[in-house]
Amino acid sequence: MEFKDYYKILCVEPDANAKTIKTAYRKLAHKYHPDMNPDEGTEAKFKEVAEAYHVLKNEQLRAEFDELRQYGSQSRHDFQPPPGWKARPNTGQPGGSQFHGDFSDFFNSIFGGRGQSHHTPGFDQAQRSARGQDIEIELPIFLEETLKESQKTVEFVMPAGDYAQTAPSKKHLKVKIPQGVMDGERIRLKGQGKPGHQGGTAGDLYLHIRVVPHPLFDVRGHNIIITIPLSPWEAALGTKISVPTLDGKIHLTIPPDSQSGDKLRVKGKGLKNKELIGDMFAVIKVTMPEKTSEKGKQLWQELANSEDFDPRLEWSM
Amino acid sequence: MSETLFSISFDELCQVEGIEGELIIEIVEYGIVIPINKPSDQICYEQWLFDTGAIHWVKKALRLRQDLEIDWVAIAMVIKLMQQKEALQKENRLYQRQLRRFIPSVDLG
Repeated sequence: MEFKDYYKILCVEPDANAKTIKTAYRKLAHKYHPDMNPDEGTEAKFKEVAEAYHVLKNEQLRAEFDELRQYGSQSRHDFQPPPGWKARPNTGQPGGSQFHGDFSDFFNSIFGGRGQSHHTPGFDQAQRSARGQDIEIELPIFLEETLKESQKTVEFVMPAGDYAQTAPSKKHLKVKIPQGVMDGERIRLKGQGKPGHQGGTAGDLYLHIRVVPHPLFDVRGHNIIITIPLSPWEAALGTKISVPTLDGKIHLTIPPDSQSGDKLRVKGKGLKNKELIGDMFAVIKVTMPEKTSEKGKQLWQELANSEDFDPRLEWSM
Repeated sequence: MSETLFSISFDELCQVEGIEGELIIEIVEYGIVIPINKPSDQICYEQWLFDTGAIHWVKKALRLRQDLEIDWVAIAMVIKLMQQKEALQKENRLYQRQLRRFIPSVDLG
């Protein structure tokens, strides 16, 4: 077990006063808090910083740590508490709980289980310790699946117990996915999280819905958007084309003189839930042929000669 | 088959987070989460219902309060900015996908 120098972790001198320690913690906590900075590795770094602060802000724990530090600094990579070392009983010094019991082996070896005994005002400690942990997993679903109620089997890993009673285990659960679920929504499955401790209720399982990007359709609220490529002559003359929707094909009339970016609304072909039905918007994209035939070039030339259209008219104003 | 829920009651939210009701009332007062049935002020807090997404933000708010020792006003601001950031990222992803449909070779960095 590696010796953790809490002063180095907080970037403070060993004789730093309480205010300096608090300032250093705040600075590092803002930098590494997983809610403020979700980058990989920040959670582990924050845990280390929070553990260091938990010890150094508490006079009794800090005094014990200082004592051990003299000993530990000589055996940095293979630290063992000195023979006969026994963590002293907790005096219950007040102070909020920055840390929720997830301490390192190093901490547990020198301070025992004292990390979990702090009480934060406003928290019902009895309930907190008894109820099982909530679990959140991402559930990818296809856009088509949101159109009607469907059944899915979700697979997730139930974490190991807090008291090292169980190992992580794979769970399978059949779930009814209601019609009209949206990207980003959370579905709660009551009591399907981690089991409670000593008769406490089980936590909940949350399914965070992630709608898989569709190759043809984009989603905005309850409306879906499809991009329709048109040839220049289809855009100029208008046409009737077959357009895919989420539930089959429809025929769509393209008016003459359509422009790239024009939107055509197809009512009732968007996403559905119990209360409302969205629309589909067809966005026109005028596409040039990759290669033009000799005949085509002649026809374009005729157009160029006969039309006085200037697409850069705004530049001359 | 597990029952799927999209809302959570005031009492359940207290139980889930192991917190006192007063703390939830405070979180609501600061606008960190809003009950889905609050518009009618005649509803007392015991009848409040929250959408399940609210639990995510309540948990975040409690963690920020404990870990960063910042007050509710600052937490409310942080949460609002986080929600705005999430919404903008989602909108940005949509625009990027639409732009690629128009210009497949576009370099979006």
